[in-house]
Amino acid sequence: MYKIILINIHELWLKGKNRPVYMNVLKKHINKILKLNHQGEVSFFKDFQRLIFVSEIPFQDETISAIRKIPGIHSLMLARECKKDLESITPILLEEMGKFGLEEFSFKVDTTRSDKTFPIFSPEVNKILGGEILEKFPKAHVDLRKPKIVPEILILSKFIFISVHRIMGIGGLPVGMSGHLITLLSGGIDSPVASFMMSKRGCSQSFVFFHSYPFVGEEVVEKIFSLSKILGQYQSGCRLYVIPFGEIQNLISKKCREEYRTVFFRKFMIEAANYLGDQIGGDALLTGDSISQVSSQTIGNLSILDKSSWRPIFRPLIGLNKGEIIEKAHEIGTFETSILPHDDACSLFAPLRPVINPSIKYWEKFSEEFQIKEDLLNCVKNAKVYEISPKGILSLLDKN
Amino acid sequence: MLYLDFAASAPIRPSVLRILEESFRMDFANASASHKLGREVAKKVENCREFFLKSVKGDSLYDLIFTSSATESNNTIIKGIKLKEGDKAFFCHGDHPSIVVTGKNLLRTGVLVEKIPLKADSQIDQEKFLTLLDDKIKLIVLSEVNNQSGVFNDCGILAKKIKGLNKEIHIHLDAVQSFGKFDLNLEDGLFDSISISSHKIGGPKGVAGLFIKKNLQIVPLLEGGNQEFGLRSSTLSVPLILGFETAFLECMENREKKFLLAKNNFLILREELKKRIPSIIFPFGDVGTSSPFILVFAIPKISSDILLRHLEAKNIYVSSSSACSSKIKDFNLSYVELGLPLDLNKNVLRVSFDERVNEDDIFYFIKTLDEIYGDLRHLI
Repeated sequence: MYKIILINIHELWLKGKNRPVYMNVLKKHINKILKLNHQGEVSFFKDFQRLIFVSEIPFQDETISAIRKIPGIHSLMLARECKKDLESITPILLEEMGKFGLEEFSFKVDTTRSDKTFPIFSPEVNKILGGEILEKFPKAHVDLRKPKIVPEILILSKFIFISVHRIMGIGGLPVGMSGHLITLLSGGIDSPVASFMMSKRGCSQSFVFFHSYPFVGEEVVEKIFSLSKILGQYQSGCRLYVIPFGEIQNLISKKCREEYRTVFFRKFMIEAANYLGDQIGGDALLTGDSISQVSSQTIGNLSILDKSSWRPIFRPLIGLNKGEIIEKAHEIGTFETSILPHDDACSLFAPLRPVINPSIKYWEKFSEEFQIKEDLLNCVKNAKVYEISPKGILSLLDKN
Repeated sequence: MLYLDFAASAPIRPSVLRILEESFRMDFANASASHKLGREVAKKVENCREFFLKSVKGDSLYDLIFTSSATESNNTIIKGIKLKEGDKAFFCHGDHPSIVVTGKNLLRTGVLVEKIPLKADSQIDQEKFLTLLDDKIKLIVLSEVNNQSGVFNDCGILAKKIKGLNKEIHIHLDAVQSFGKFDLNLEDGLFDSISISSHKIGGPKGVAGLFIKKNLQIVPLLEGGNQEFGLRSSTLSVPLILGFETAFLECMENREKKFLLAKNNFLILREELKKRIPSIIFPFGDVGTSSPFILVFAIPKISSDILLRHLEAKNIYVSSSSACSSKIKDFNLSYVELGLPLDLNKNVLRVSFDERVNEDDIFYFIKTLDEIYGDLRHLI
């Protein structure tokens, strides 16, 4: 149990003059998570591009795993501090090493001397402390290539930190630095993965689900809730819009050629998502499309759908195989929820032979004749809106 | 709102609510207590018991115990009568789970469990059934009205034939869907036990009944204070029992007239739906073989959960074959057992009501369903 967390920032070298802004956004996000998860008072320091959080009481495991999910963090180090002299390091370091309960292990002391005024150079510190460890644990040995334990010593301007636990974050950029996305969730495996990937790239998001009630039931919404709760943990507070879409789908089905149903459903979902984006501010749409995975994701269908959007459509999974997507879904913990059986689209609507190479001529003619802007705006207006806290708690927002 | 799912649970009757309120307030004493208050509430229960027994002409041959649900009543018999390894028991596998599941579990004790044969219209094939009877058979469970199909079996006639062949067979009747609607006459003592339920007739949930032949030996499910002749230990819920009685009382007022009213609604439904939706199928027989309080139909190619939600969106509530199991892509096994073709398995809707649903309601339902069908027919 540690009272100090050091945060190493990812991709910091890329940012140049933006760096202070990035640091600030990340700091705010971490503070938000701490406020939601941690009981004690926390003080904050910045030292040589590291964020340091010091608490009066130890950080719980749940808090640490919540912080791990914050985009932009390269790694977290759970640390102890000591006075700025070499003698103070040794007892703490040996105590920390002892906690592993091992006799035989390989290790490599890794010292970072950020404070260049510190009188002893890093290699020397490594050597001295390595010697102390070997003396206390005679069966241990130094391995510079593949050490089992890497005790890290950080010599900063005011403190020395000792850490034997470095936990990797998800990397990427702090949320909010890369614009706002309207994320189309379907309840399947892919869209949650797409959402995660763009959270990691620093995009804040609003989730959208098109609910085809009464053609499909309420179970699918429960599933979307569960997925949103997981995805919301990579955001610093976001919203879910459940847009009623059953009537629109039936309306489209009555007018368009059967084989075009699915693509036209998607066209009008994209339009509705754009209208929502107009209202709440969205820079781009996000979908979980992977090229040619299903008939509506052929290059012909995707290209034609792009014409309906007045925002760019991001498709981060476009070049991934299903297996790769599934692997990611396991990693972020959405897979088990995604595969719960549900009716995502009513079987009544499913065309017998869905179109693969849509005719531009028919597409344009239908789009011209079938104007439902008002209906779409109405659907967006009637959406149920839910707040999702970064802790993954979902609550219905009273729009009044 | 139009509620048409009475076979699942009927709305509580206002008269019952009044009794419940009063009794919860006044009858708080424990009916097993020896003081005056206790004796008074115990007396109320005994009067109530007598009323039930006399109403079904069962007072000389039967006892009535109050249980918490018809599921408990069915369990009490199926688990409680003494069957030994090698004995045979007959069930209809399309019946309520409290019969089918409990029945199938008898297999574990070495009891042979057999299916009661059904005809194409899913009525019991009496002739065939009687040929299957032998002296190993110790238990037969019959349902007067099947809850999923609404199919009615004249179990009195059947029981008479069975007892004619073998007096020793225990015949248990599940009268849950027929009680308070059909005439129940236990004068002949043909059944050995009968389950009835309160909430299906507008009484409170949490109370049901089990008529059993006097001196019948059963192993109780619940042991303790020896209430209910030692067959069901538990403090009696006097208000629920009185509520049940009130609901039954109301059902018995002009019972035959109410039956005719239901029959009229049933016939209107059948005729009008057929007129408007020509492809509609009524898979379970006609008014002669069905309870008039339950109408089952299927519209080919439209799965019933979709119709159920479209009706629900219009504030009309019915029951569907795939309502609670739409997540599970399996078939509804009761309907498979009842002989429904597999391609209709997920298309069945059940409309059920009692005398409180009038002709206007029925026409409103027909009109709404017709509109929904019109809105969806381009998809099939």
